[in-house]
Amino acid sequence: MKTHQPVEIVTIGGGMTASIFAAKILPGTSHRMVSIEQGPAQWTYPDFAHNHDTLKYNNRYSMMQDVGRSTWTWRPDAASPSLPFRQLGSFHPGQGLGGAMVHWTALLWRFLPDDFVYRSLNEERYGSDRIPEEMTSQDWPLTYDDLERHYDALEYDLGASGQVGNLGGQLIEGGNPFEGPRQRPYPNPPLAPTVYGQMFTEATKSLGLHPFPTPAGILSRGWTDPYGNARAACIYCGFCTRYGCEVGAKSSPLTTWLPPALDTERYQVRTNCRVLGIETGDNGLATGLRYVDSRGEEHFQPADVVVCSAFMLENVRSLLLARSAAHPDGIGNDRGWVGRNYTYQLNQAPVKGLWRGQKLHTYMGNGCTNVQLHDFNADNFDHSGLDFLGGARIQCEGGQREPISSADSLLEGLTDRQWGATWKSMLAENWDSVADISIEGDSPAYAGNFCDLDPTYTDEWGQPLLRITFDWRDNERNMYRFLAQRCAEMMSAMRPDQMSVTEELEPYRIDDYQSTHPTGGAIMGTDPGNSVTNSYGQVWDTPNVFVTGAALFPQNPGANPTGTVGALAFRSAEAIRDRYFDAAEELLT
Amino acid sequence: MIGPRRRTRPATVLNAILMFATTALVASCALGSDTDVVVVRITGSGFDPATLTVDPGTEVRWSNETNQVRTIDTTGVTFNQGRSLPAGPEAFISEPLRQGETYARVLTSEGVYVYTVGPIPDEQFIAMIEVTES
Repeated sequence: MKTHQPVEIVTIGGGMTASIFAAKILPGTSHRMVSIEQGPAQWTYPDFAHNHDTLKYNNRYSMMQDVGRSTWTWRPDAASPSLPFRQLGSFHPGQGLGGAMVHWTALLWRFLPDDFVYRSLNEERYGSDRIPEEMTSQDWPLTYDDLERHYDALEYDLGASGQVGNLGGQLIEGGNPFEGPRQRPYPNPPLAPTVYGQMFTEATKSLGLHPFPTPAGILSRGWTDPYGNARAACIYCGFCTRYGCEVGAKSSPLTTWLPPALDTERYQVRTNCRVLGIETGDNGLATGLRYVDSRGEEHFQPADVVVCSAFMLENVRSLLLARSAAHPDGIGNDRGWVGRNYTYQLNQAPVKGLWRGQKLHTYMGNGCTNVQLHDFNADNFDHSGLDFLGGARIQCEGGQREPISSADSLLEGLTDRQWGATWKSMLAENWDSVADISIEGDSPAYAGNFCDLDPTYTDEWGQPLLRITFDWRDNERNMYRFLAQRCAEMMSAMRPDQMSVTEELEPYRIDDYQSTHPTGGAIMGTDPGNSVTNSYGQVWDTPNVFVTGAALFPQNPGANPTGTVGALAFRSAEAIRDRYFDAAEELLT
Repeated sequence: MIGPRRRTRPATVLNAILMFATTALVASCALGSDTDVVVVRITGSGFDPATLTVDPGTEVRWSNETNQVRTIDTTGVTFNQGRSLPAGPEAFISEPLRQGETYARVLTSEGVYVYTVGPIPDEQFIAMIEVTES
């Protein structure tokens, strides 16, 4: 095994939060940082040039983790057996330099102020007996106000495109009236409106709702970021989610944080290298990372600080695998909290409509050329007479439909069979005349949904896979039923010729893509009795280990996680840069 | 009573320094030394600061650092998607400001100004000033 020169910081994964740490911590300090990245190096040019290959990227998941080598197992509950899945389904964790943010859809949200106080807010408004006994959702250890300046800094690093809804407490027409107050508008105007988006806007306004353009980490115009990266605007090519952006308009570590980080010459990403484990010293602190390179040779990278900055599932797994005399159940797990409060995202399309003869141009745009509303999200509406807590953001379909996977299910609910001559001619005539309304709902935490190590299955390197135990509960089924009716009302106001409604939520399936938002498992909290980390992602029982990303979320609100992943990483990076090394191995306050 | 509107037109850097000093001097002489002055910069990416809270009687100075001619518009602008900003307690449009020029105004009426630039309103140039007794 080769042992390298020690550095101050080593990270598992070379993705979003690793590059944020590198770009924020290294300039202005003398620290050195190494990231161990399982996938290959890749850059906008030349790797994403002419990459409109649907089969390769969208259907065969070229930029995703190879689940033939390492995957996860799943079971709906503890009484059922767990099995590994060898084809990507419910979620698509990425790999490669820049991580999953390279091929994200780029919806960029700030969580709502209410999201950070889920438990106390619902107890106060509806009484503690409205909270199901099994539900373990809890308040975050920080507030929206604590994060506001980090959300702002993130949006200005990325050149986020959007429309302000709450400027310093003053509501601005056309934005999201439910958003938390922001100190300034988005750096770029919203992305271009679409035909279907305009239909949705008019219909929902007529119902008294508050539609607004999607906030996106995609440039709506040519722009230069604070690091001097001059970038082009989106060309609305429609090859967005699951693709690298060929013009660099979709913001990612490649466009934004890697250039200034690598410029310091004190940051190195070792690609095609797979972390095997976090090594622990006798004193219970981490000593560095053990990893294997593409030739199968083992290495050890010693470091003062170890950061779990891989995808949420692998971060939780790395903690559980880091078993030692000091931490027999894994780093962070001295009190049994690693793996708890595993949550997901209730992402479904309850309604679709068909407008005969109308061209919606659903193949033009990106995943953010659509319209959102938060009227039925979180506690933005009164739950007094209802049988659930929480809610979802609701959106109309965007503009990245492609022919292969859309043919499969586009006409489900609109034709009586998905084969045959009638179906074929319907598809040919109406492929661009069908579109949906979808919800992205919050996912509360429950005692019976959790992650641990699988007792049976191992990966290519002989290490136990992470086992996910997860299914929906009555709260989510009731929430879905209510939201499906609201979506049906919106769709009816859009006056389709034909409409299909899926009224009930099916049981969770691992083979059916919903969203790449598994969250929790290494949650942040106020003390070691209710969490794995403090508000900086610093592991309570091993203060020189930090966790980043969505594993920190106590439960998942009704919006995409990346904005908050970034804001939390900005805050943690600032604390590590300014305070950690002056009092090394102590818990930050 | 609306206070005097000052305008600086520096032809050279030296003039700019002199004009700034003169403006400050003239302003303090004209308005009394206990008038608060706040500067809002018009930059390439928007107003800085974009949110502000001031006491009534504060003089706000908008300084155009961009190369486009701008006016400050608090009259309640409508954008081309048909959405509008509300008019401020004192609805005004400043004179056109070239690069380096400043528009100063004492805000006396309490309330919230949500304003933008003219002659063409711009999403990135939406800002807010709340005038309220602290």
